[in-house]
Amino acid sequence: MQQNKLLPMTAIAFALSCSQSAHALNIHGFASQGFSYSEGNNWFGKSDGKLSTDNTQLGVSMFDQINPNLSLAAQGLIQKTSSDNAEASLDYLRANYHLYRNQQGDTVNLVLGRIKNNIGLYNSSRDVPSAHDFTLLPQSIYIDRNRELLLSSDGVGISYSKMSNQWNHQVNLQGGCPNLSSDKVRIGLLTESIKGDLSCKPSFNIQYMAEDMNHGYKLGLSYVKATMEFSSDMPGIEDGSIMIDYWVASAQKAYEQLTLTAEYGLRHMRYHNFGAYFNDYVLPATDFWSQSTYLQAEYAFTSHLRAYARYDVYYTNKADKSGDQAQAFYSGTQGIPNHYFYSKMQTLGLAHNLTENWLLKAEYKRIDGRAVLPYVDNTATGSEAITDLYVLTAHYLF
Amino acid sequence: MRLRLFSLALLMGLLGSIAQAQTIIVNAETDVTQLDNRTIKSLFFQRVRYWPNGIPVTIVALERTTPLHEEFSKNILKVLPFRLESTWSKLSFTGVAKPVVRVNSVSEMLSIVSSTPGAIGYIDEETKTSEPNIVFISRGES
Repeated sequence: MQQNKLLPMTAIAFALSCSQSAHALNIHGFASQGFSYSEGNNWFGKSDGKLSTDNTQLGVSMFDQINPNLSLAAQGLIQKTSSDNAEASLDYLRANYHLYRNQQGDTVNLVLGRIKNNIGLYNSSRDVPSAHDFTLLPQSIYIDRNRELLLSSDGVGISYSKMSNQWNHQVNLQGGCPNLSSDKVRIGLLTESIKGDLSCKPSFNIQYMAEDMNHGYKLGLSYVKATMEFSSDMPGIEDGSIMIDYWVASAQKAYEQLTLTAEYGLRHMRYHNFGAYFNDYVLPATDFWSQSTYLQAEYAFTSHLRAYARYDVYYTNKADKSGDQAQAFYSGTQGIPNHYFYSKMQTLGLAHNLTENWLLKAEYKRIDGRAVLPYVDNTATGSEAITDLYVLTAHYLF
Repeated sequence: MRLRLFSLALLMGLLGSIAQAQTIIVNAETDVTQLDNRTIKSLFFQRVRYWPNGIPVTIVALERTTPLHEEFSKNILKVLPFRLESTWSKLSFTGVAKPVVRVNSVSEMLSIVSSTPGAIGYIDEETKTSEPNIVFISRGES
């Protein structure tokens, strides 16, 4: 995918539309500040045993309906979620073109630009505080250490929406390249010590979602295929390729006040041609399946006060759920214990719309295992298996 | 005695529903005069984003804490308002759908719907008056 050409073209089109069109440009956004305290390991900065304020976010979105068939939308995002510096990013920049519709309401749309990936129920809106009540999305499926890899792609997409008597059906298909500019992607896929550059080969994402709005059912299946080439800067590590196939099945049932959600994910990871040293010393497996799932209950006491509870679990390699084989692999070199290869999490949370614009959230999470812990702020050889995390966040919506 | 209590409850329920009744309004350029409940829900949840004549749908809503907005959400859409808000946030902050236009009063609602092609909103039944360029929607059952 010509990501270097597509994105500037869309940006220019957007800039021209803003300067020439007589439409009122719609601008809205959110600002968030979080306060975190943890015991065991760090999350949102150096929070272990002390209060951390390294959880700040500002998002500004724009939408312009150029003509009945064409709209442009963009969002800029500034985020600081660790003791590292804040990062500014173009979250999405998309031109939507309405290709087809019929009298029954069935539609086909074409999308061009930087497009959020449709994975599960929450990936596309993971950073939007008012789109869900959670401080952290279920880390089993929406693991933050892979956020940059999974968030969006520069490319082209097509969506098809069909209305039937009971169910709405939606299919989204998009092809392009994930944004690999962040060093976090390389660290997440190859560990901190393996230096080099990742480049993208055409990848794609497809999602099918069915929804029965009258009875509150939502069922979905998402698939991502991403392929990357690695150009090594290290002697002994050869240029190789990484292939990821990620499947997520989603189910949700909403009653008036109660919402039950479950998602199940399988991720096939394959590393090719990195050489004998990589295979023998860097990763315990070069062809394996990660497995993840969660169960979640949300309850609305009122429309303004809501609570949730969740249990989720993530196994880096489902053929080695205990992590014992990986521990044995590293015993002669880095001495990494087995709890680096799974995470089991229990979460309780509250969300309260304080006023029209202010939203408060509180979350407690107990994490057994280090597989989903952020890389930044946690040393590669930390030994604590259990993390207790308390987060309070205030969000202003405008 | 039971019959009296039942009648009283029924009467109170009817009075309540009359006092809280809401009416869907659309801009006349939508060419729509009747909508069934399922379509109304699909429109306000932005699953349907175009009118049959091709004009994009613009949702106009009162601020989230307004009693009329809460009553509309519960009585017409049969959901608590937070479900609407989270859906609108998800779709607008991902660039998928046009952001909802928020208004502070019914008079502003009438003004915006009247002047915006493709707009759909709601008002209190009591304030239903003849307005230029606005169509009051009659609701079907399905």
